[in-house]
Formats: sequence, structure tokens, C-alpha cells
Amino acid sequence: MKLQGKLALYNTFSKVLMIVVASLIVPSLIDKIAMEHTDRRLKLKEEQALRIMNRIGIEKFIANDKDSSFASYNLLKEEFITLEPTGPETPRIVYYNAKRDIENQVVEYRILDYYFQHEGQHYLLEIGRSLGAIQERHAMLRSLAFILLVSIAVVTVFTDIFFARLILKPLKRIIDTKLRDVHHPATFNFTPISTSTDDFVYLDRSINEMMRLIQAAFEKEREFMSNVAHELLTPISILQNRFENILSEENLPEHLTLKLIESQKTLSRLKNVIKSLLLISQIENDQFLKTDKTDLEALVKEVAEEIEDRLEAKNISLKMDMVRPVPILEGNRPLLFTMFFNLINNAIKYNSENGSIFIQGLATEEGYRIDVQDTGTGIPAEALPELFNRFSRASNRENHDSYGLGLPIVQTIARFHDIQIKVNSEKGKGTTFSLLVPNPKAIS
Amino acid sequence: MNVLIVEDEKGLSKEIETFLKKEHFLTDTAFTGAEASEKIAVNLYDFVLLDLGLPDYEGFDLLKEAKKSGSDASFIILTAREAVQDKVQGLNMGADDYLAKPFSLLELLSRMKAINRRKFGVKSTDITLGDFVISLENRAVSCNGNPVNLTKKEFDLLTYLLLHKNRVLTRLQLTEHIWGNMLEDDYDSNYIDVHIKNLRKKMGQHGSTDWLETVRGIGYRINA
Repeated sequence: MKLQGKLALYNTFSKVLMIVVASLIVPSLIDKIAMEHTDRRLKLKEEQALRIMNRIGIEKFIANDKDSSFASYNLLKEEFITLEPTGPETPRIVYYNAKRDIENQVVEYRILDYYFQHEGQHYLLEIGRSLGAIQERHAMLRSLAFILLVSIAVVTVFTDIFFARLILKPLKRIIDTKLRDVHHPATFNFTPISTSTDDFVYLDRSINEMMRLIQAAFEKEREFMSNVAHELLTPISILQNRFENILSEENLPEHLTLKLIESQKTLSRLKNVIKSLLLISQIENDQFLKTDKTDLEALVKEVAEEIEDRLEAKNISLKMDMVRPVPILEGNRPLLFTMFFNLINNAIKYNSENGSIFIQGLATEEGYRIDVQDTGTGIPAEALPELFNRFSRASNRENHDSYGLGLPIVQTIARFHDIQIKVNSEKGKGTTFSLLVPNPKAIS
Repeated sequence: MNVLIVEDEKGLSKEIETFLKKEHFLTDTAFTGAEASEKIAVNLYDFVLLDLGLPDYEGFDLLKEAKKSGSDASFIILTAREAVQDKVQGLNMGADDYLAKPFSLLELLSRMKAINRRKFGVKSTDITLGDFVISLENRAVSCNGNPVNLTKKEFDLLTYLLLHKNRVLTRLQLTEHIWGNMLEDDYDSNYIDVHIKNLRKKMGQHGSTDWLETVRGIGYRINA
């Protein structure tokens, strides 16, 4: 899952959680606030009532008659006020909820009771406010709060996503330009990614530092290979020329001549191993250009002609059938030549006498596929994964007196040209090497 | 013909010298760039065999210097630095040929002969061999006016043997010549034999091919 997705998911989750928690807490909080508010209002009314009583005298409300009392309701019975004499009580204020039966109508009220003494007489002032009226207001407040909460949550989820995307943009740029698009250390771009996020600057800097180390190591290896090649090829050069000079000496006994020829062959083998390794290393180090527009059909034909003598030596027939249009590949022609040469040469080498080779070109969905199929001995399944490894036993089949760098070279060249290579083999029936040239770049 | 061998590797320089002397060249050696520069300035050479990897000199600089001072020697670059751009650069700077180490001395000799043919504008490059006439210029073989059709490889093989006539060429030397830089991993191959067999068959239809001798266990030779 992408970091951006995770952040969005986390944000949404935390917001939903917040709403749930809020909807659990807020109603009781609102109730409490509303109740306090109501109590304050009742207190105000009580003070108002007392002021009126002080001004016009309590007797206006209640006669000196001990049983009389005063009561006043508003029309919808949302509020009431009563005053009545009581027995001796300590003066105090009490708030509570209670039901009152007023004119045969039971209504729940929030009530303030005020006990006080006036001219030796104890009174109780009771002020009530209908809870129905209060609760109606609560419900409205609650739904208002809920709507506000949800809309804030929704809006912030979107702004969070937008912001996360904005903030993570440099990360994507770092991954694209510094990691994904880098196919070879030599092509690495050291330009810093512009970002105000310190973590990304740090990441960018670290990648650059790492790449500098890798580049240095590559450069070292390239230099090393070049030096090794020089150091090894020079003595081989001396030996080869010395053998040639000895061979041309007159009166050289025949048995020594034959030994010398054997030595020449051994030396040639050594030379080819070194040159093959050097070639692989040079390709891997990107020391070849890919600028030749190569007609693959013409190329394969040329290889087939070049290799004619080998076919003849084993009396092997070669058939070619390439569906047109055969792609024109922008690559390194000599290398591609070597690749096909090695493949077809292999098909001859491991073919049986009087066998055949079939080269087939097919346009498939993934690209243009070229199969090189032989009727040889085949390769055991367990040896297939090892086939392209340098100096592996599998690439050195059937005690052929060689170090079999042919296939590793094929693979290196294929990889260099983004060509996929696959092998299918059946013991006793033959082997097919398939080259897939993906999305051929047609060049007019 | 005067040849200057510019090669810091003494062993290699000595082998090249031995070989060229036997081929009746007059040879001179230089082991450093400075020495070579001095000798090129003072002496007249027909050929300069130039190693690119000199300890004190960049081989290309030596070539540039010599060309600037008007030396008309033919330069053949010898190098172990087998890089494509080296070859292109060398030829662009006026070198006449380029050989990657290790190379065969016979290959070197045939390149030198080819340069000579070009340089002195040899008009008739026709060589007579028994009943046959071989035209190097037209890459054609004929017998009493009748053309003999040879493949490219067969022709290369014939002319290489002819160039080094009266000398036994081993199968390996012939293979290296006609396969050039292909990295071969078949050492006991008899592909050369296939070509020789075809040569004998094709030419045999027109005349005698007794001049082509098989030297048992070693290789082939043209006696002329």
C-alpha cells in the first residue's frame, strides 16, 4: 500500500473515531451546559421576583392568612412561579427536576426552591421551567453539533489527502529520478531534488552519497578489467608470436611441431576466455553504443551464411521462416551478430549429425519472438537454470573441451538490448532458445 | 623496407623483430615514446608499428606528432586496449591499420603487404598459381578465362595461403584469419577442412590443385 494511501486511511479512521467519541460525549456535555444555563436563568428569575416582592410588598401576593398561596403560570405552562408560606425552614436554594400537576396537566419541570424568612414568617418561592422546552433546544443543539462535526471531518479528510500528496511529491520524484530511472551508475543524475522537507533532503543526499560510492566501485572495476586484460593479453601476445616464430624454423622435428601446435591451441583457448570475459565486462559497463539500425532478418541471414561451413561439416540443414515485418532494432550490430552467431553455433555444436535447425520469427503480443530450435541431445531440466552462468557445468555440456562462455555472452548481449531470452529443452529431442524483442521500435 | 617497432614490452618487440627480419625487413626498435619520437624525426621508415600503451607517451600523441612532421611512414596500431573508439580514433588520425593484441605475425605481415599494395598503387594484383589466375583486386579466380566461383571465405583462405606461400599454415592460424574476431570456443574444429575440401573440389573441376598440400597433423601449404 502506498504511503499516501496509508496516510489517507489513517486520517479517515482517526476522524471517524473522533466523531464516534464526540457523539458519545457531546450530548451529555450539552445537557450539562444547558442545565447550568437553565439554573442560572431560574436564579435570575428568582432575583427578579424577590425584587418585585420587595418593591410592592409580599402582602400583595399573599394575605396574612396562613393557608393562602400565590401561583402564576404562563399560557403554555412553560414556566411557573409559586409563593407560599411554610413551616420553619433554614433559608436555602435547591435545584431539582420534578413533575407538577398544573390544571390537570402533568409537566416535568426544572425547579428552583428558595426558602426564606420575611417578618418572622417562613416562605417558599418556587420557580419552574418546563423540561420539554429545554430538551427541544438540546436536540437542536445536538444535531447542529453533529452536522458541524461531520462536515469538518469530511473537509479535513480531503485537505489531508491533498496535503499528503503535496508533501510526498518529492519522495516520488526521488524514487523516479534517483532509483527507478537509473539503469547504470554512469547515467546517475546528482542534481538535488528541491524540497523543503528535511527528511527528503537527507534521503536524497544519502542516495547521492551511496551512488558516488557505487560509481567509484564501477569505475574501479572497469579500470581493473582493462588493466587485467592488458596485463594478461600482453604475455599471451608474446607467447603466440614466439610459437609462430618457432613453428617457422626450419628443421624442426615433427613431434615438436605437433606439440607446438597443441600449445598454440591451448594458448588460443586462454586468449578466448580472457577476451570473452573482457567482452562481457565491457558490455556490462556500457562501453558499447546502441546506434546501429539493425534489420534482424538480414542479420540472421548473414549469420547463417557465415556459419555455413559448420552446418556442412555436420551435414545439418538450416531452415528459416521469419514472419514479416521483422523488426529493425536500434542496437549494436556487431554484438547482435555475435549473439545470433553464438546461438546458431551452439545449435550446431550440440546437434546430432544430419540434424536440423529451425529459425522461426513470430509476431506475438509481447513483441517479436525469434526461436532457434535444434534437434540435438537436449539439456536436462536441472541444468537449465545454470545454463547462462559463467563457467557453469551446464554451459559446458558433454565434455566439450571449452569453458562455454558462448551462452553467458548471448545473455549479456540480450540484456544489453532489453531482449528477453528463454530456453526450452527436452532430453533427446532438442533445445529451443527463444529471444523476445519487446515492443519493437519500428524505424522507417 | 624499414620498420620501426614501438613497443615497450621487450619480449614482444623481440618476437616481431625476429619475424620481420626473416621476412627481409630492416628493423629498428623503440621501447619508449621519447625514443620513438626521436627516431621517427631522424630516420625514414616505411612502417611504424605503434603500441598505444607506452609508459611515457600516449600512443595517439606520437601518431599526431609524426603525421604533423610529415612522416610518410605507414602506421599500424598495436594495442591490448581493445576499445572500439580507440580503433576509430586511430584510423581517423591517419593510422593505416589497427591490430588488437594478441595478433598473429602472419596477420601483421599480410596487413603490411596490403598497405604496400595500396600505397604503391600496384596495378596488376593478379597472381598466377598453376593453371589459375587470382585477382586480388576483383576478388576473382579464373582458369583459362573460365571463372571459378568461390565463396568469400574460400577466397580469403586461398589468398591467405597464397600470401604466405611455401609456409605451412596451421588450422588455428587459418581459423583466426577467416573468423577474425569471433570468439571461438571450438578448438578441434575441422571447419577449415570443409573449406579446403570445397576449394579442391571447385578448382579441381578446372585444373590441377597439386600446389595445395595437406601437411598431416599441422595444416596446409601452397607450394609455388
